[in-house]
Amino acid sequence: MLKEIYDVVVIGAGPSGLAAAISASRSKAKSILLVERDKRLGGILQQCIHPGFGLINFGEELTGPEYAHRYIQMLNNEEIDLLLDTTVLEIDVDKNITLTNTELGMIEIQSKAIILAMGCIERVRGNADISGFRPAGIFTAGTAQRLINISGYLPGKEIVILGSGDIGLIMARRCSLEGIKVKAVVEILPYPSGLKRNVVQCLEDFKIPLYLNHTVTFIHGKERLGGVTISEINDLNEIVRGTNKYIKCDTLLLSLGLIPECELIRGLNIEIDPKTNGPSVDNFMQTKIDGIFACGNVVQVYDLVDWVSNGGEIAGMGAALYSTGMLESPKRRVIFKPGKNISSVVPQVICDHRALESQGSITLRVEKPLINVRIEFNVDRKCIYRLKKKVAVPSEMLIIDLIKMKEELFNYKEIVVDAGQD
Amino acid sequence: MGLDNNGFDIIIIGGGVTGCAIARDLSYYDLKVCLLEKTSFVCSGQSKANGGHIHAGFNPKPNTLKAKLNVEGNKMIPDFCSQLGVPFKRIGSLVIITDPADITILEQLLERAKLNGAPRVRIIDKAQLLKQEPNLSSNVFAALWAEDAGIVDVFLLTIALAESAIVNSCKFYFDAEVTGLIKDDKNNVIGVKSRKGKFFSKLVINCAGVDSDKIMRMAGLDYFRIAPYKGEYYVFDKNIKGLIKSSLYQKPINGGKGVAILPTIKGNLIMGGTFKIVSDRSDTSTTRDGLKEVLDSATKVAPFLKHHSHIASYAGIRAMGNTEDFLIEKPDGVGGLINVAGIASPGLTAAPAISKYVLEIIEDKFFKLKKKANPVNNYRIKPLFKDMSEGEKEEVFKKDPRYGRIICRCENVTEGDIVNAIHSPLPCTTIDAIKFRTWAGAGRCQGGFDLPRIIEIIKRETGVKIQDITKRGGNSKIIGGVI
Repeated sequence: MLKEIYDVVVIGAGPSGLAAAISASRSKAKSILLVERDKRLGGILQQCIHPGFGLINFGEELTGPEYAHRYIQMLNNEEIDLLLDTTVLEIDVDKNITLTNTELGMIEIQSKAIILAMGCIERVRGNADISGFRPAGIFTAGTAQRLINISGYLPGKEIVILGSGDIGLIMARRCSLEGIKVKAVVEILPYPSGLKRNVVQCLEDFKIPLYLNHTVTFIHGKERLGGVTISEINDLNEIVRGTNKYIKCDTLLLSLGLIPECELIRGLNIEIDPKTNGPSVDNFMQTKIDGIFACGNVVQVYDLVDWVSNGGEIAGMGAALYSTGMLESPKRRVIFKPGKNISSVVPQVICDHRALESQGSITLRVEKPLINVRIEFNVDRKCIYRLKKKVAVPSEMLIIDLIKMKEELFNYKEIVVDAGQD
Repeated sequence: MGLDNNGFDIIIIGGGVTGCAIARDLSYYDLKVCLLEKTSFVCSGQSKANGGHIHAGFNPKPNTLKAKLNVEGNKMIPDFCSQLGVPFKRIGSLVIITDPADITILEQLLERAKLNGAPRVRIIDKAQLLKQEPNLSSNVFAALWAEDAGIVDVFLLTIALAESAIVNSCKFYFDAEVTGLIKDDKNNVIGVKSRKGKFFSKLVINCAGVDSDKIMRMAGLDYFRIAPYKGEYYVFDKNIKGLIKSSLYQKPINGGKGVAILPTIKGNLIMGGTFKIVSDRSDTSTTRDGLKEVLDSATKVAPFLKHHSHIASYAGIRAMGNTEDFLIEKPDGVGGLINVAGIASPGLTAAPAISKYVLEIIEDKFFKLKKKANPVNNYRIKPLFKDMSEGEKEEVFKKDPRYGRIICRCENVTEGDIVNAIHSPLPCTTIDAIKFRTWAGAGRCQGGFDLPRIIEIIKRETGVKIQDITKRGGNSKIIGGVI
């Protein structure tokens, strides 16, 4: 029986939402509702049938569905109300939630705390302004993954993949395994943007050519894709003359990156960090609006699902505490800002919740590959903390534990994180 | 296919907004009417690239058919749309100049407005302009402000017109490109040859857009040529809504209208277009240079555009005639034919007036029109669930709970909306047709979320095999194979 008011409502049952709901329950929230728009739990994990999930949290290399299953089992041990095949249409600052499904139609419920766990959407062709015609046969990599792994349909017979991020690389292998000819993976940067192990296991092992410093500059075909022209691009985003190459294919997969799915929070005055495209959060994953938390890919794009779940766990705890009035206003807070060579820092704010068990780590990404890296916390150009690493790449998020320096941090209002090369 | 069809009174060639408007008006009369469309759906040629702007009437040269029908059409549009249940809004339009010397251009347009009878057009200064549009660049100097300009959803309008005709027994044939005209020995057109077989008629109305000159040549008429001018456009995400209140145009250049920034009635923003003649009239490709040209020009007056995400870009071919005016005529020496040719801008605005004009030509030069005994009057297109009133929503949900399931998250399109589109008087069975009708797949994720679900719904509702579902008919199959 659906309640009218909940302590905690979690929107999205992917890895972050599942972990958040479980954690909220274990943190003694009295009533929890988990809402998921798909017909099953697991979110994007359902379609990620390749292994590589859970090395940190379970010490095993699980497939996406296996990883989700572990959390679903934990969920079943908790008292959590579940609404599947249900879409949240709107939330407001008073935490009224409008949702819809085929049983109840459109209804409104209320919650003391909300956890946003909606994940991401993929960047589309229009974001990259790829010229040419608009035929059938163009898919984002995630949609193609869903079609193959869940629906059992092949997007095409001869594929070019634009973007060498992990999703593109995984799909190169996936398509090859289904007998689809992967003719090329094309990447505009001078280096592949996915994890090294994926470049090896998905491209090199399958002898799929990788074109760096290239992009798709024209799409051919009026009804169904007939081919693509790829070209080398220089630093000024101009086509290098004489480098146009036509590749005959019937399918183009776009792996252009992910953007947090922020449709629901657009109407609210939640601060969106232009670096992450997701809401700014503190170390309890709380947004600028009291009682509205966010976790997982909707906050920033993670590379390891284990950290997604851990972020969800923190949000669940924070929301439960908030709903029982136990999340006091922080006495002190320090803002973290990305500086030189750093593309993003999350959480954007670290709060000092004295009486409670504080969460104390920061995640960050470098803007470009660096060697002999110096990561510095700078206040008014003065370095208060330094960390050295041999290598740092954009595709691998760095986590820095702040517990030991907690007390010192709160002497400052704002800390800029810079990365330099020695 | 070699089907020979029964005789019709009237055959309309072309299912753009012009052809469908005429089909709808004719469908109230006691006539057998059919419409032959080359592609698999309506609104798929020039109309598809239309930005939905309803012009005030200061652009066309005075004393032309364009001017007369533009102004008339603008007056008719509000009732035209409300009768069909199609939303329309008067948001006004601005022609903006940044160079004080260009004030003469605005004065010329103002003069045209007066001569054309377009009311409520005046020149406003920088202060007033920035008051109306505070997000414009401070380098704007003045603008022509026309209060009667507006916006409409051209897809919904065309579909509504077609459905209004269909419920009144007008037959629509798709994938029915006309390949020749059939004439009697007195040089009267008595029918057409098409990819769907032969059709016979008393009168053929040529609304073939970019190919309207081709149809004329089939009739032996050589005096008219289409100059295919391509226009490239960007579409912005809805999060841009409200930054611009009216349609913005810039200084007209090279026969075009300069790069425009157009709010759409759905809440998007369209920016464009270029104006470049192409050699291949089916070349609707976007180009790197064209898109750059649009962005550079538009960001001069609206710099905020640089910081917003565009989600799509497209191009269309304008059916511009070498006569520079609409060519709406019974041609000399050829019977059984009316040409409605060269209907580029302001064709959408003029549509209801063009249709009225064509019916006058029919009565004047062909035959009297007798009203049907029991027409379906005032057909209104069923609104999307999200646009229904609370009461309507409850009622509709009770009958079909699928209205409770969201399929397209970005645009809040429900499964009920999609099922309704598939089973409409004009069935939407391709991905693009469903998009035109419901806007599913036209949002931020461009179908990323809904495509796998929509193809299952099409399969379930029509029995078509997954591999045969297309983006827009023909060879545009979505799925390459089944595992």
